[in-house]
Amino acid sequence: MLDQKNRWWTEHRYLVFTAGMVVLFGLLGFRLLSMQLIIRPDFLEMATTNRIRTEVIEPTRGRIYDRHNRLLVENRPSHTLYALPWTIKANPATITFLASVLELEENDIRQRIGSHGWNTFYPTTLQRDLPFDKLAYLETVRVDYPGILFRFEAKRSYPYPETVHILGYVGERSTDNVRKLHGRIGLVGKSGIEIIYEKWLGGEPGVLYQQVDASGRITEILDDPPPVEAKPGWDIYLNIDAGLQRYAYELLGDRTGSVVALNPQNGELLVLLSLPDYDPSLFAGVMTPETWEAIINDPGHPLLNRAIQGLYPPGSTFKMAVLTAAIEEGFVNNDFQVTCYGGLQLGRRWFKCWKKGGHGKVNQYKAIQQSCDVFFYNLGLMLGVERMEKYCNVFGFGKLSGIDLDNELTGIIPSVKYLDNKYGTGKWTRGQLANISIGQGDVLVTPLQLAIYTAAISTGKLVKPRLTDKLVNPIDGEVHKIEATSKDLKLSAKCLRIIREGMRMVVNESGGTAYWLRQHDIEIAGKTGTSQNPHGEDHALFVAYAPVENPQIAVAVVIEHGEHGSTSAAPVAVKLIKRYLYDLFPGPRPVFKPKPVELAKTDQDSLQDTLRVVTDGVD
Amino acid sequence: MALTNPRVTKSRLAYLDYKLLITVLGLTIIGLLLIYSADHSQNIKSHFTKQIYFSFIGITALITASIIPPRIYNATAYAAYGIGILSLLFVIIAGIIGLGAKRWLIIGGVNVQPSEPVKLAYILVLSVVLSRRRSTVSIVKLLRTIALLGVPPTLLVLMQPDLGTATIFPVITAVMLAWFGLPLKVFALFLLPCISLFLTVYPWFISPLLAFGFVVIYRSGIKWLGITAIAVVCAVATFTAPLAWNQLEEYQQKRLTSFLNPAADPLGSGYQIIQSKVAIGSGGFSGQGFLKGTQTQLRFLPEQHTDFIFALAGEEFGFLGTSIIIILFLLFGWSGYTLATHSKNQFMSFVAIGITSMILYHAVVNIGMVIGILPVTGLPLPFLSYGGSFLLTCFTGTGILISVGLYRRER
Repeated sequence: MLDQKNRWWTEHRYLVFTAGMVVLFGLLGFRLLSMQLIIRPDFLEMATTNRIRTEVIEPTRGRIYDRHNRLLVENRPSHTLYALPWTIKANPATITFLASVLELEENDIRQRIGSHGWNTFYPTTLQRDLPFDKLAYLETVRVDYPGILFRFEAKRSYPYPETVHILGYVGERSTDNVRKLHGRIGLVGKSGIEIIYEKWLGGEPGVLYQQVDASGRITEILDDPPPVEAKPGWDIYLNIDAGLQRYAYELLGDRTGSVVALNPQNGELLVLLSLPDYDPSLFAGVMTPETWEAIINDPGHPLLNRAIQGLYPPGSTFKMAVLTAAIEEGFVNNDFQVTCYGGLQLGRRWFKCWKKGGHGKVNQYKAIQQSCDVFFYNLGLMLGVERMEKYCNVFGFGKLSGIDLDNELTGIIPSVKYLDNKYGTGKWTRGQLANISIGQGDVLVTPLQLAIYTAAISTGKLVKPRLTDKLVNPIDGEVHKIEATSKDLKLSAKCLRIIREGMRMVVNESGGTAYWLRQHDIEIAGKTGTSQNPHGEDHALFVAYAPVENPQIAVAVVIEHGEHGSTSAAPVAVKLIKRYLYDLFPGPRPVFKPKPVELAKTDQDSLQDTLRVVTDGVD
Repeated sequence: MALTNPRVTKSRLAYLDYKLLITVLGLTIIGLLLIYSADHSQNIKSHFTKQIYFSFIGITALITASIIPPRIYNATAYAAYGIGILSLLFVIIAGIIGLGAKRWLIIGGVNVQPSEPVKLAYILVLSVVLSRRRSTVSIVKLLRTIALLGVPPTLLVLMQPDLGTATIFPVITAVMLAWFGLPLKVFALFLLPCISLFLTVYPWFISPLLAFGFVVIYRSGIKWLGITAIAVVCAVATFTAPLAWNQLEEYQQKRLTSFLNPAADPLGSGYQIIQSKVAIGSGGFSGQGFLKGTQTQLRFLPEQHTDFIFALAGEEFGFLGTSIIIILFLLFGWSGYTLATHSKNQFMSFVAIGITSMILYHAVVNIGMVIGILPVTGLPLPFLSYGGSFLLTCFTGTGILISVGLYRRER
């Protein structure tokens, strides 16, 4: 039986074996057919992903100029050291080597390289602005240490460091996911103009397609797909006058404070200074943790841009807004007078006037000129919170000005709701009202708001402040202009005339709080202020515009712990105004001072009154 | 005697299998082209030149082996087998360590891999045993003899460790026993414990197979005692499988499993398979062109001159190239099986079936690995992969096949 079976098998085994072979190879062939003919595109794409690496070409960042085409930010050549995490992972000796050359801990190096993970072909920044000796050394030995590469890059350089709070700074791109960077390694705007106009300044990156082998070495630069050229960022032309900014910087010296100057006609910002400041080049190269600690722990808070973020009680500079409210609401007319005995009793408290002896009879002009507190206590009590708030808002207080800078603060103009919240409904008294009416207590404004307010008084319109004049495409010269915008205050001509006259008298008429700063050739209108500071010496304020007719510049100066507006802040503003107007009209300049006969005649009587008063102090 | 008769000599040459020769030469030339391409990616020529030397030595070996009459192989099979086992022992004692294993011996300054010729020696000795079988000898005794011969080389190669090569001995044994005509129930006896090795891994797939196997055994008349014994063996296999798995080196475990899901570790154990599949798939119908495959020339494809040479063929010569290689192997198999069928002598028939199946097994396992349907076992592709020991073994094996062809009319 076994033999019979065997005979059958002997006759058929050839067939079975051949069939088995054909089936096995057929399966292989079928699989090959599907891989090579049907799902081939997928594999082809994977092969392409394998071999083609895209390298991002960083565009040149746009430059920044001032109004006289002075370069505020330029690009200086520098070398940056990059590391390729994926390659260094395979060559750990490179880390030890880098640590010795860069004089850093190995762990630091490891952290920097691996900041986006180790399994990436994207380079990570090791050190920007590499010193030349180190660059030369690394260049000679880098063949032995794979995974290091250099890029020639533009470093931001700042010939006018006092513009730092305007320009801001650049820094590394930060992200939680390296893929979101799309291979970009260049610096990016972090604050100021650098971040506001990042889209313009940043330009558009180009792409280079490289063929790499399995070990990541570049074998060839490909023509197909064609490389994309990087488009440089747009240049920015600011309205800032770097010379004036530097002058303001020198005038302030080592004092803490802020100076804002603008063209009241169109909102062009001429000066925007905040002190103390910091060295912008610290952010352009290598920022060590120690430097960063030193900056953020500095008691002067150098990173704070006081011009737009410093909140101060406006003090007496606020009085024009209160008087405007009173005139517009009909509480004050030409006959309105308050007698000042050096203070006012409100309930149990005696609210002092800054002048102990009192001002005597005070009308609207004298109230501004000599800054009589009692006059404004009375106005405040008559007006109430809501009316004062309304006119403050008209002048732009309590609102963002819309300046092209980041992190601007609104300040605080107390409303009924605000006071209710702060002190409890109905718990706040007439005392608070009196304080508000002289710009103390709960009122908080920024120096920029003060400057815009002064400009608004001078022209009758609220301008939107503009740091930037235009953006220019460096390739084809295309210009993108930032247009001036303004809003009419809708105040009566009479009201504006009274306030302007009051401010003119502050500087130009005997008895004015800044009379000692009168100029023979320029008629300046101003207002002094002292802002009570519970933490120390009072802050000194001065707002001014000039010339009175056809004003060209409006200035606000705030000096922290400067005590008297007239003695410390006002000289700065006056010198700045003089410098600007002299520069504006070089050669034989017009005299910006009309003859006395041209003074406003309608309110002649009250004016005469005012002129008779001689003060011994200033506020 | 035969050589003195010119008529007989002439008729013998008439039986020369040209088909086999052309197939082997075709595969070798394709292999040389591919190795040239692999060398080109590294800007060297050393593998290509060496393989040309090996090919000439191989052809010499082929001619020599084809001149020797089969009876000499029959007479020297045991001696060859003995030398082979000794050399494997020697590898364990004094082999060179490379790629995490001891596989090579240095003989006269040349690295030799003894496990390759041992495959041939084993086929020869198995053919002797199977062809000498008398009907009076029981199957049990026969299997005992085969086990005694088969276990030592398998274990010695496993100890190197070289899992891929070690699988050859049981597979060749099974194929030759099938040609011999071993009853199905005896096959089932061996297969059941083998299947139960995987019971813990794929319980729902293996248990019905096992049940079916036991039914076959029962129907074939084996008593309950026998069935119980087999069941015990199966149970032992089931529980020792995980233990044996843990005995494997981690790289072996990864190689064996990563083909199932290479994307799980694309930069590690799955890298080779992914790159190999990408190379083959991107070749398309007619290939990227000679020396133009990006996977090959940029060296994304690993081991491109040895184990993964088929992927290189797939990338640069496309489906046309891979088809030609597969057709050549089919032709080789067809010739070998025809020889085995037409041999009057039982020994020659077994030799032919053994050598042909050994070559085909290498090809199927290698191509299956390269296209990602079989685990990475490291078996080279006959006649194409770079490597002297294996190429010489393949040529010698083909020489023996030709010898079988020349003498197939003789008893």
